[in-house]
Amino acid sequence: MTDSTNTTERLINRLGEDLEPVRPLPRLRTAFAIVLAVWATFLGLVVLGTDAAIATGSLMGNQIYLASFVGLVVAALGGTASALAGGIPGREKVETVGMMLAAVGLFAAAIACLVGIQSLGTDAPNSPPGLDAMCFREGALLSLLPAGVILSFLVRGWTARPVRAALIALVGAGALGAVTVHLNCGFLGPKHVLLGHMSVPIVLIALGVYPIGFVLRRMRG
Amino acid sequence: MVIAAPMRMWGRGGPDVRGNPLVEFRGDARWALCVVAAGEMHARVGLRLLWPWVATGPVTDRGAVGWGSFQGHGRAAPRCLRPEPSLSTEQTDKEEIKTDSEPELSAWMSAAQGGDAEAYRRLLTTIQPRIRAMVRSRISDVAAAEDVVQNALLSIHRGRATYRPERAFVPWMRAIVRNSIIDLFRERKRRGERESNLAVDEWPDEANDGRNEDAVLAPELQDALAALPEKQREAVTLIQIDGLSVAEAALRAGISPGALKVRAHRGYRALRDALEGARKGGVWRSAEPGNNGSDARERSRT
Repeated sequence: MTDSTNTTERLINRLGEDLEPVRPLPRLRTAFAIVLAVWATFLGLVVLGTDAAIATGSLMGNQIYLASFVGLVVAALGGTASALAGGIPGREKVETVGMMLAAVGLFAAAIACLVGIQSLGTDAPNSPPGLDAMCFREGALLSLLPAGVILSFLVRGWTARPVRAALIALVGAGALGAVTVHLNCGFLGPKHVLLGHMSVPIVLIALGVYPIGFVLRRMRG
Repeated sequence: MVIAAPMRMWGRGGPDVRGNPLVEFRGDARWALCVVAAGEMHARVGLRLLWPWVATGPVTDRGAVGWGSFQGHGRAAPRCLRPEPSLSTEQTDKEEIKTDSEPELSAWMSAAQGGDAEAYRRLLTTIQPRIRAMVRSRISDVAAAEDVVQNALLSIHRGRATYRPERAFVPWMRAIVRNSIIDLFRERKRRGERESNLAVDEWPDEANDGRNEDAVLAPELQDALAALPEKQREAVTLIQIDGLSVAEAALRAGISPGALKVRAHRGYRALRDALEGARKGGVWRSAEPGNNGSDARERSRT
């Protein structure tokens, strides 16, 4: 037996001594359901606090608004699933598929907005002053709780690629916040949707991906 | 010009320093043709190749070869010419790690999650050779491979809460081992080969024979060690004087193996500078306790 093998044996003994009981992470689908439940509760409160008719009317009355909504929902669901899977070894398929869904969703939403801007040309409605910033702020605030829940799972988990997991978590959480704002806003201008709603995940990524990735890396050890 | 005959041309290779699939070539090869089979994992992107990829390029002294997004990786070192019988990738991935003991492994892991140290030791002892075979099929350097084995065991320990008893154990374990291997290549790429080797190889192997409490250090070395910042001193002491492996030392220090290597490497550098300064000056002036390595260096140079 070589020296290095001996040290490995010693390590195993030490790990045995270091062992403490742990509570297994919930199943992926359970964790996903928890995040969605938290978000749905928030969404319910927000929609109840305003006029639900505005939300449904906006969605049904404007195809571009509906298309960007669907894109954001896909990005939110894909990003959330991917981020949660990123904290569990052996769930790379879910992680990859979710990541692709998130990218496709965001891309589709952005394309819908750009097509809307292009087709309306100079007739594209400009949002009232401050509305873009207000929607962005609300979206960012509303994404904090889902982000916290997703990150709590990631911190307890073992992320193989911490920065990527942080990125996808922020896409998922940001898109969840953006969807909430989207249902609550009622201003249909595609430029506003792009700047006020879709900017939420983008800005969250820009601000948080490296700090959160760093923390996840440290937590992983 | 010699056309290379890759040893595992159609087999699966491990990732190279860029995280690309790795194929080994015979030592006398000057020019290599690398065929990467469809289905190979591109470690950096995390996606599998949908179609085979061919790349050609020169085999250099350092072993790098090829061009394009996927590169082969040739090595001139003779040891690469003799794959160990137990290390074949096919055997590792398809035969040896079979799921016939899956329920047992799963049961041990579940018990370990509940705090059963005996089941945990049994589990780690059982999977250790399997992990080693997986790692050695991708990393020919024995010392580096053992390092990865230990890091993988540490990762299994730290990530044990992520295992669900209703899921298979081996794929979970394999994912962790695969990532430990990729971590090594990423680390090498980040720090450069010189630094990553230095952390392990700078001191002679005799120092790694185990605990060496009775070792008598030269007074100069003792002083230089005492002058190091506390964290660097701890890292150097754990690895070189206590004779612990990097993974063991990391577990003891409560930090990641990578962070421990960084501390140890900084410590070695500070020690080397301090000792060189003393040798050049002809006089060793003892460092005051509490001063850091840079102070000692400055004093020794003045």
